[in-house]
Amino acid sequence: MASPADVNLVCNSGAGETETDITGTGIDFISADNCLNTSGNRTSNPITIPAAGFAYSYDKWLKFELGTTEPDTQVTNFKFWGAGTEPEAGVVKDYYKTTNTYATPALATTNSGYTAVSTATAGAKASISGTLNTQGEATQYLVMMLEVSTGASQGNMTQQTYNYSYDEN
Amino acid sequence: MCRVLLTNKLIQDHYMNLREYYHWQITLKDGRVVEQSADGDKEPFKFDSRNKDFENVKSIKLTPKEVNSHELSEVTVEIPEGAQLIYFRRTIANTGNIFPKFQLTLIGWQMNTSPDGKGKNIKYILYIYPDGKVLATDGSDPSIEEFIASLPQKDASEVKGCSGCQPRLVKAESDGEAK
Repeated sequence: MASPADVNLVCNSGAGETETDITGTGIDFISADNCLNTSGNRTSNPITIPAAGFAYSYDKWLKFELGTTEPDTQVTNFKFWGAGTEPEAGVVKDYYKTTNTYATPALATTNSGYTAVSTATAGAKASISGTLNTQGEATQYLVMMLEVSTGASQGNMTQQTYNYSYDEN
Repeated sequence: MCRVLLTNKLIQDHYMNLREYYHWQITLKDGRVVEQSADGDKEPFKFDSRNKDFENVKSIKLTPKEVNSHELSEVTVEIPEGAQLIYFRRTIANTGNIFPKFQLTLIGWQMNTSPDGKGKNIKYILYIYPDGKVLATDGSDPSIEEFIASLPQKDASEVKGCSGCQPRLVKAESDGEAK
């Protein structure tokens, strides 16, 4: 048998869809298109709390991609879920959507077309399509962004952690 | 010296392999036995329609690998006539590595009540946890929260990686400029 398949969480940025493996590092929800997770990145690209209405982060384009160790048969049934809460109840919310086609990341302007991550829970996981067999194959995109409204607390927010699962045989 | 030995024994006693803790053996309807290939080798037996023997599985047996043998039992599932084998290792992880990545082993079968495939699809799946717990279901996912809670958890201050972490928010002036 092969070792467990090498399934990586990849972030895509730029018009050329530059791929960054973020499996062990994560990303920032910020006002810029990059796949970094650094204090400097967050300081340089903050999200401004609006005086009225909403402000948004850039959308972050993620996908699961097979690395060098391939499965015996396939990797499939990708799921994603959070803790069932909002980053800051009522005023800072994280959203997601899934899509098959890449678009250059942009500053989000609405939550239309997105679903609140707080609804993707252990009991109601979100599905991400894709059956991976060989190195380089990837799932559809999981696009995430942050919505901030008046009343949000200033400063660094608590880290958000998301769960995921996939089936391999 | 005794103290070191005792500590090592405790670590060994409580060590649990969270992934790839079973070895499978499949018996086909014609009596042939297929063993899972050795670790690191290519697996010739495919669990999909590319493999003509996939439809001819009579039974599957899981044998614990040595490291978890004190936790796990041997498990055998007979595949009813007309049913198809289900075998997966479900990996569960999180972006911050708050808990270690682990796998559930799923074995069972599914069949349609009608030969034309238009009937009701019936599933029988055993979900086997790394600690040896086995749950039989009709296909619906069992809870993993209790098992996750039993795993060593990282303190929030130890989390180095996450997806969508620590956005920095700044207040806006009334004209919309950040201050």
